[in-house]
Amino acid sequence: MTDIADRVQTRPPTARRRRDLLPYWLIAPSLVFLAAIIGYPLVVGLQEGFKYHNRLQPWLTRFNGLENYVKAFGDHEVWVALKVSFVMVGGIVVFSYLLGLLAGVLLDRKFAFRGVYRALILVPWVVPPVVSYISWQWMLNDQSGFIDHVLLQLGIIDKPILWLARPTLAMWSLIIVGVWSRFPFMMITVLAALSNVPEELADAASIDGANRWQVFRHITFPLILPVTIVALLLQAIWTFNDFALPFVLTGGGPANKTTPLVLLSYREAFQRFNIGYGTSLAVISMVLMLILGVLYFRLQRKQGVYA
Amino acid sequence: MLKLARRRSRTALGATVLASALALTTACGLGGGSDNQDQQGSGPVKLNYWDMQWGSPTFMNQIKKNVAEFNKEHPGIHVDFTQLAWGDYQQKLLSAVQAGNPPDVGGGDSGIPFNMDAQGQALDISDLFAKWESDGTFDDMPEWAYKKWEYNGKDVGITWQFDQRAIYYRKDLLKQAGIPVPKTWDDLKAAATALNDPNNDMIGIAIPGKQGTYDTDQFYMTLVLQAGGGLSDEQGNPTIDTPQQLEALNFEKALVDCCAAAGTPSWSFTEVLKAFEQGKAAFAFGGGWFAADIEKNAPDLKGKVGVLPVLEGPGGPEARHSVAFANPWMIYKQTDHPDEAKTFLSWMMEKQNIRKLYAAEPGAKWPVYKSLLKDPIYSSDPLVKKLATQVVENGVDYWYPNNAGAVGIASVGTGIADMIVNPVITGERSPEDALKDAQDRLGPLFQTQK
Repeated sequence: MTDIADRVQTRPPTARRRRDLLPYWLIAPSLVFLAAIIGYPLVVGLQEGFKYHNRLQPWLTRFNGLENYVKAFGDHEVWVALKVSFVMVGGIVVFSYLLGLLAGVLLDRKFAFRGVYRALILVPWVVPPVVSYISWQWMLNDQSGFIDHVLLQLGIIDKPILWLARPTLAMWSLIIVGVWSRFPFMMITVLAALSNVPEELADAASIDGANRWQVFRHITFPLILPVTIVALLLQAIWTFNDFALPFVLTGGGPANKTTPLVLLSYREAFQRFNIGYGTSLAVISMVLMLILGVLYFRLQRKQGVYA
Repeated sequence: MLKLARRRSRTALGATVLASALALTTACGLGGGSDNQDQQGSGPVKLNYWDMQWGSPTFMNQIKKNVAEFNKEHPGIHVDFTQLAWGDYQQKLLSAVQAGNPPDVGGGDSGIPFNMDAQGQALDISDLFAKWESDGTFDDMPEWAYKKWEYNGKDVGITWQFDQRAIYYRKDLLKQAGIPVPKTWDDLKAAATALNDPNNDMIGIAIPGKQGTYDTDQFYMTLVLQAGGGLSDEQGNPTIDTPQQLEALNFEKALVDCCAAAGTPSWSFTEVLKAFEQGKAAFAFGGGWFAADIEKNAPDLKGKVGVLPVLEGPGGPEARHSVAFANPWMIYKQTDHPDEAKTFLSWMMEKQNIRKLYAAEPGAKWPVYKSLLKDPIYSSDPLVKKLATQVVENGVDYWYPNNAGAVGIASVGTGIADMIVNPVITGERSPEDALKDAQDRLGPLFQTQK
């Protein structure tokens, strides 16, 4: 042992330096790759946000400092889009959490065919989002949509509900479809968290006279809360960035009432070719999501994942 | 041994880094691009021709057959055809241009040559225009088919087909109600009001009004053109907030309020066509392809459906226009073989060759040659004949009458639907407010090169 230590100590400094650098060389290919596919686009994107750049007006391309951001914060359309984003995120995350929690708690019990139910509930989550959104668009269609058809047949309504043609209903439609496609993820998370709750705690509380609700309220729920909060944050980030849902289901309408920031950014950059302004909107989204991201990592650390 | 192992490991490490770098370089360098390498040997000149998915597999196969026929007739030139998807073609083309490998010849939407000219990428084909003018080709074309592409002192493309829009109507319903075929805006509104009967599952008129689609602006722009308006003035300035557009918008709003489906703000052409084919609409604004679709999916309506004459609006008889998108072919400036590309374009535009394309999907592609109106493709079915005649006699598109604002018009995207039509028909904005806002927001897109 001492012999080896001596040999290492007597190794020339250049060799030691080389050995110290070895890990960096080993991760170099990954770093090059990440720099190319994440770093470079990010830097270019940040630069674009400080330019007037319309792809069809290349002669007007110029650095315009904070003009895009100043314009964005004075732009009524941006504020409406931000409001839509937050309402969409709030609605989808809250309801998908509640539904996922309910489904998770129910499916945590032992009963026949539990595995089958668990698998079936996962279906909305595993179907490609665009496919499910298009299917929902057909089902919510006011002309021959399945939902209106069933409600009419059952005599619950006497004329079709305009799910996608009225601003408030269109937002509710977005939320319903979003919840449908996301609650299975919440359910899985809740199930995973529940599996870590020691049964002895609930048993002890029961012996002490607590009913099922009290056990859930004062023991189970506080124990699964940290994990589910992390899942909530992730869900919020994904929902905020979900372009396909409003794009496919409502096209952002009616009257921009379902146009979130991510869709507005797309329209500016890829339909009006305003790359500069569109990118600045994307950067604003990114900053907002970074806040959630920081929260996410802090919570993760608190729970010991990165400790 | 240790040294050898270390050397080997260093070599392996170097190889890994090199391989990663090479993989990245290759990945970045791979474009969809044109194969413009110079012909070193005696082989044929290679041209890349990119075009859209214009129709059914039968139609796309006919494009390929035309290309194959050209290749056979021209042993010195070999054209490779690549089909582009509508979803991302703009990005693909703009990226190819920036990467320096666009196609030699290409097709696209009705504004693509203007967009490419703005990038300095559209080859001036005025020599072909001179040829077509002198050999009588242009005499056989509607003026808009070639005038549209005279831009900035150059000729940047040529129309190979029109994509027609029209108002379909139920002849039987009008006859039953004793209503004459509408010829003016007022006639249309009166007829649609009379036939609108929601309690019996019948709407007066079906039009698209959904936000975020290109369908919605087409009915509105038909009205704008018939009101004598357009999107740009002679200097290329936007003309959105104008009395003509206000008249068009007020009329559309009134039409939706009186006699369209309550769900119109969420309707695209899909819903419009479905309502009409299910017998739930007396009038429907739609594309030229409606005729073929109705025949296929609603055979009961055969003989009961007609096409309204192009309506007269506030713009008077001179403004009796219908929207017919002039779809172009163009040559890219970066081509290494402009002469061969022109030979190919000229051959593709020959009437007998282009006719084969039209014949591949009868009733779905509309002619650029007036004389083809007598061809059985367009003369055998009265509905198709009427549509084709309207294309030739009244068809213009959004660049009419002034293409000076071409780049701005091409950049509007779904702005007309998003900012003007949809918010107004949902009652969320007043027409005046929507037009003013659209003028302010879309105006900067019309800035031209000084």
